[in-house]
Order: sequence, then structure tokens, then C-alpha cells
Amino acid sequence: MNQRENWLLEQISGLEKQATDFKTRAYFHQLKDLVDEQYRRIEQTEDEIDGRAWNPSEW
Amino acid sequence: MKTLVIVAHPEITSSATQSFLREGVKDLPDVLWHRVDELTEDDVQNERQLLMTADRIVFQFPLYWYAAPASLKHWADLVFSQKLFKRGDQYPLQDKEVAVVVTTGKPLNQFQAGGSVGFTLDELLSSMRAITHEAHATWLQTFSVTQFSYMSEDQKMTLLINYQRYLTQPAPDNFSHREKWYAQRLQQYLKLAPESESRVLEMIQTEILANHDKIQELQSTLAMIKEGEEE
Repeated sequence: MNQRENWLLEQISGLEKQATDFKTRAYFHQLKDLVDEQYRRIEQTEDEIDGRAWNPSEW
Repeated sequence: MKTLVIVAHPEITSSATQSFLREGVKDLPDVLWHRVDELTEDDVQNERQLLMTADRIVFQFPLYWYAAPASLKHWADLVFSQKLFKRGDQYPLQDKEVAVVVTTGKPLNQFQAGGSVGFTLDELLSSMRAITHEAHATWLQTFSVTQFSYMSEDQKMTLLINYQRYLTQPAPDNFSHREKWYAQRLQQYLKLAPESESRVLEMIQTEILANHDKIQELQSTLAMIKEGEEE
């Protein structure tokens, strides 16, 4: 997990803890999953681009 | 987008699932929760009007003997008419999306060949799909709520947000639409937040939208590379 993602998840967790109603808590809880998936997709797509750019069969 | 939720449940006051779902969307401005269990013939024009003004029509009910409760069939028999479905060469409901929220006490994995039910939910709901087809409307994937009483707190949180998204997020349910839905909900929280919180909310929103743009950009780069490889 990179620093930026860590910071973002911490901020969202803080809002989740502060929430006084179930709906708001549920929203921030699920928002963490979305953010997690965003960073995973970024990393996986960057890796795939790197992998394809360095494919020896294309040299 | 306006969503009409047509709820049929003869024992709704004793249903924890329906109370939970109702509570989850009661503040959403473009969602109309509408019960049809006590419909009379006097209500028919109003019901047709409601259908015409909705963009997404969601039928919500518990599975009774593998079908919708009798009250929904009664409602459909009164409200549906040839004119509602076809006028001349026009199909008045053709721009609508039609969806089903179905609740059941059986686990979802039993709704398949080899499971204790032996039939999929799609198979059990095929008559509703046929009606949607007749209207030239768009059928959306079914949203099922199974074994609500056994759900953990975390599972209920997931259910609540998925249900809100199901009623209000543009179709299809892809990642890009999901990102935008969360960003829009964040905007709602931002409007109501005290100043101390609004700065953090703004930063979160900026970050989520920047991530969204980055993913789009990376995917477009990847698509170009793949295209180049195929040439």
C-alpha cells in the first residue's frame, strides 16, 4: 500500500468512526473498498503496461 | 434519474429486510418507495402515471412459492394494458429500465441446477422479463437479498450501499459508474458537513476523481499498446 493510499484510507476511516448513523458509517466503510480497488487497478494496469512495453518478442 | 420502487409484501410490518431497505433509501430524493398491496381500481390511472414518470421501475418483493406475491400479480392485472405497452407504432415504456429486488430465506447458491431449488432466479422471474420485452424496455440484472437474518454488520453495510447503488446508479454496473456514484454521494455529504469536516471531504473527493481519471488514462494507453501488438 503506497503512502497516498494509506493517508486516504486513514482519513476515510476517521470519518467512518465519527459517523453517528448507520447509513453514513456504511457509506464510508464501503468507500474504503472502492479506494482500495482504485489503487489496485492503477498498480495492475501500470504493471501490465510495463510488461507489454518490455516484451522481448516485440524487440 | 427517477426510480420508482414498487413494493409488494403482504406482511411488510413484520419484515426486518424490508424495514432495513426502506430505511436505507428514505432520504434519497429521486427514489419513490411505493407499496401496492392494497391497490383498488380507483388507483389505476395514478399507477400508470407513476410508471410513465419513472426512468427506472423496480419491482421489490419476497419470493412466495418461487414467484411474486399475489398482490403484485393483482396490481399488474389492473395496471397493465395494451395501450400502456403500445400506442400505434410507439412503445410508451421503451425508455424505461426494469429491475427486480427479490428477497428470500434460501441461500443464493441453491438457485441453480443441482441446488435444492434447482432453478436460477432468472428462470423463476422469466415472466417479468417477458413483460419487459413486450414493453421494449431494458431489463437490468436482478438484485437478490438472501438470508438477511444471518448477515453480519459488515454484510449489512455492503447490502445497504449496494441497494442504494442499485436504485440510483446509472447502468451498467461497471467500475467507472461506481466511482462516479461514490463521488456524487460524497458531494451530498459535503453540502451538509461542518467546516471542520468539509476540507477532508474535499480532499477525498479530489483524490477519488483523480484516481478515476488516472485509471481511464492508463486503460487507454493499454488499449493502444494492445492494438499495436495486433497490427
